[in-house]
Amino acid sequence: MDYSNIVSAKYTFDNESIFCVVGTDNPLSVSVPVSTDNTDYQTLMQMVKDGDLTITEADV
Amino acid sequence: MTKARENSDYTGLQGDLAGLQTNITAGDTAARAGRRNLILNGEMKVAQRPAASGLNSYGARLPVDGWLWGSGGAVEATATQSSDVPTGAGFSKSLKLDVTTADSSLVSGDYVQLIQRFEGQNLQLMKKGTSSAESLTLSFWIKTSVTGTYIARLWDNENSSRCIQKPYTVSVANTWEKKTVVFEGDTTGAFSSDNLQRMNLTLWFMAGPNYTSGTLTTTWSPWVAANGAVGQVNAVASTSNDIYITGFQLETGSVATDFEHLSFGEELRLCYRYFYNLTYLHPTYARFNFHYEASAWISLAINFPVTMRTMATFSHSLTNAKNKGSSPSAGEDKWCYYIQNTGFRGNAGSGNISGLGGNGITHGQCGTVNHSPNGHASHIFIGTGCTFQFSAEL
Repeated sequence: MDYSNIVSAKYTFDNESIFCVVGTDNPLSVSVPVSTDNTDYQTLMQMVKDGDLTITEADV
Repeated sequence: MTKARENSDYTGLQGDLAGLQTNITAGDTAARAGRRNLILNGEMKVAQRPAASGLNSYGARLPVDGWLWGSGGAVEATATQSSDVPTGAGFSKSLKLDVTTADSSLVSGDYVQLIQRFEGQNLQLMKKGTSSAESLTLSFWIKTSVTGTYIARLWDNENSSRCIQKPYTVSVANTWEKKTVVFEGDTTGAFSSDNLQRMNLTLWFMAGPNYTSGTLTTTWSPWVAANGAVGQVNAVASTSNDIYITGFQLETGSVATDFEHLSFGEELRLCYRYFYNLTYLHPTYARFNFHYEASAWISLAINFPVTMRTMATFSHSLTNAKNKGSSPSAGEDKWCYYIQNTGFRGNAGSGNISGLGGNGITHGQCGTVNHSPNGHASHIFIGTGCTFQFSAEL
């Protein structure tokens, strides 16, 4: 996952995962599960902590 | 039967029994030895990802499964799976690292590394943190343009970043050479037996002054950067430099045994624990059934070939604009629907295929998408040029 090119990040409606769009020219749809064992999730949380990423709340 | 004959038979029987016991013991030992190699995809023969270009930071996944690139500084490289292998060693593939932007003026924290990570539950045979800690022997083949000293390292990711470094020498440029290094056991810092990264193997190919100004630490010790890669040559100082590498084996003991070859299928299944590219090895497209939920919903279920390490990240490149309306050609980044007794059809439905998400990944389902194929379509065809993959990498 190319973390430097995350265009948007949003929790899914059930908060099971974080849905990201990565890249613009040929975008990838990426679903990162909310799991502390998942290294993508670990990185996203670190990016949030460092102020490098904002994850939008899920629609209700 | 005479007493002498009886004694003779008895003695012979004892000899036969002793021989049988010897055979059983040898066979039993061999059977218990089981798999020796801790390295995943040491032969570089599984490559579920395409070539990786512009490598210039830490953590990029390489085309060959199980391996990562790490670098800092000006250097950039391209990684590919190569058929350049040592003659007569029984390998068919190697990893090629091609320097595309050289770094000949090293500053502070510049570095280039090749990395593999290990789960704690696969490292218990090391007996690390006990008085019985085992040595580990690393063997591999390398062919590179730059001769001199290189550094290999084991990094304890759990116990205050303990590590051990060992040098090895590339003697002849652009020639395959087999290298062996022995890492002594560590009586400090046990590994948890779990599915998390607890150790990694690092091979340095360049190291800036931050890592070379001290004295190389060759016993398990807490990480001191200045002692981390002392003596490491700069193998990326020119764009004409290439590095080929294969045949990795990491095993307990102080002797490098013959390489433990696995079948392609065995290796592939081991790799699937961490990464599953659904279009890999399909000649033109991957075809999946889906469940038509309602007028605007389809549900696509994916069964993983093996249990993945943890809940996986699902990535795909499908967009409405990439719908082809007919079956994708080989390598094409296109997809389409198929309806039984009707044939291929276009993207006449509602919704957005890019919204295909990964709910319920634990159960091997890549979830639902708010997208109707405008009819009761039953299959989706995904071209081999599409990204459609699950990752549970360390």
